[in-house]
Amino acid sequence: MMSREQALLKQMFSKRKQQSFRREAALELTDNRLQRIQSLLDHGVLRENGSFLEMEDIYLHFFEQVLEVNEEINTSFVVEHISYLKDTLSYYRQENNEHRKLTYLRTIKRILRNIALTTLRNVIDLKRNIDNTFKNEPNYQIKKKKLVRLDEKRKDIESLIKQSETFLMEEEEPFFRVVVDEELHQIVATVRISLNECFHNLIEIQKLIINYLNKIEYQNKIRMKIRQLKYLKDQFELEERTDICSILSQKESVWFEPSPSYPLRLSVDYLRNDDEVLDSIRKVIAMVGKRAILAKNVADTISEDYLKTQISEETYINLETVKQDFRKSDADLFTFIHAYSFSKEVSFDERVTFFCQIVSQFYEELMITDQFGTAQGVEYAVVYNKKNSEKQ
Amino acid sequence: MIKQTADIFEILSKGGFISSDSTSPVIRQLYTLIDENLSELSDFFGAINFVLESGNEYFYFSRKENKVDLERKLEIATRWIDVLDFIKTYDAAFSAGFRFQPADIFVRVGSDLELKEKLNGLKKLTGKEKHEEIIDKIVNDMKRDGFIELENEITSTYKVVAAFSYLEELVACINIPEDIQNEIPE
Repeated sequence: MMSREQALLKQMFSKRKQQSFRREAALELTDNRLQRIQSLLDHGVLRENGSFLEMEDIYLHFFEQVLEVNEEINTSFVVEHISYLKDTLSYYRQENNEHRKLTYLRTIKRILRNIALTTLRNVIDLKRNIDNTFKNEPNYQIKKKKLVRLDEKRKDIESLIKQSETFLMEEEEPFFRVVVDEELHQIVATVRISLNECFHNLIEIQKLIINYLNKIEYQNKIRMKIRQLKYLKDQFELEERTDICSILSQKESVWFEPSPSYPLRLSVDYLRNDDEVLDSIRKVIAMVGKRAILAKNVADTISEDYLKTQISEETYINLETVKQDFRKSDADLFTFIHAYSFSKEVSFDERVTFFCQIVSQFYEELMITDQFGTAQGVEYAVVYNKKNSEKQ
Repeated sequence: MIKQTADIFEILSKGGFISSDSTSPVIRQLYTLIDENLSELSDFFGAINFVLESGNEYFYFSRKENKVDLERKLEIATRWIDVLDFIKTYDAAFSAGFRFQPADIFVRVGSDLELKEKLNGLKKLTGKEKHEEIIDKIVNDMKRDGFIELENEITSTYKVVAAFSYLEELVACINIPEDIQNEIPE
């Protein structure tokens, strides 16, 4: 039956710490056959706890012991073995039947072996559990409590070893000496060697626990100190009420310094003589060149429209030429401009503007009379060439 | 002359640390090398005015004519007190050998009011506003100074290395008189 339910028991054992193995999960592992689970319940392999299933303690402990993964260190086994040994010894003494005496002697040998084995197992378990607790227990307070409890276990094991040794060496020493049985002598010797070994191991374990507890204590103190310093810092009292300034003055660690840079000049000889340098210089130039180009602000491309040539023609009237022509004529300026044949069509208003411009630009070469003329509603001063007027 | 002297100098002269439990095999190798040739290297670095100091499972540089003034030291120390206060509140076991994920700190901040308040207190110090950014900044600062190392890139798990003890030792040697300690609320 146990071999048939191997998969289920394996799963339940691996999840023993969560203690939350649902009946549905068990059903899946037993091909959905309820009677197979029921059979395990009937034989006391499993027990029900609400909608959860649990493995019976007796099987759980058996597996833990065999697989050497037990977390609970049970010192009571050794106590029981010792009292059982004492009883068996007294039966042996009182028994007259040689055959039965021999049976008791075999039992005594078995118990002695068991004491050695259980003590050794306890010591190994203790060491493993201490390591596990220190490294894996996330809760700080629980970790400390667990370690203290494991230290008490260590003391228990130590006192049991002492008890066993006293029993073998002092209380019942004459018996073990008197009984003529080579195998028994050998077993007693092996048990004593084993107990002695365990005792030495316990001394190491004690050191380990003290070390771990000290580490926890140290961490605790550091944490407290940080909180206190933070409080004083927030109260702006850190420098006044602690010796932080003098402590920091003594600390010369480079860690406090800003990150240094070491600008080094290149060796001139190296630059002159090494061919590789040439390549390096080329690379540097290429890099610097690229950087320079990158540094420039690059404008957008010029729109095509801007690049198209647009030709616009404008006729420009050269007033100088008009004035030159006017100097050759005898008419007054307004009449001259009015009748002047320009290179393009010129309106009356524009001709008035040219008149004004010529008068203002060549004022000194003209003679402005007091006479006024009128043309198309525009009154104008009669203006002549200076020379002509002089002639007149 | 030890071949890796330049590598050692490169790390230590920038104020870095070489820890025995580094995640990088190269750094671990450098640690062993210094450990085995301590006097030779001390003499060598001593000649260029650097003192090779050994802490608890880590090495660092100091120098007698340190050009840093007390004000800068105080500024750095107080900044780290704030950071230490935050990370020790996150986990009291935050020390050499401890492993953590920044995402986990972020989750814890969401459910732990004290932690959240302490993180908010770091806004000014880090110049960041968002919780995630402040945590990133703290983690990066610790990484830059060599107190933590990225152990697993995929899960983004960091390992606190031996050099972290330097901060703890710095805190431990500051003395608060007993009567003042009694005034400080628990």
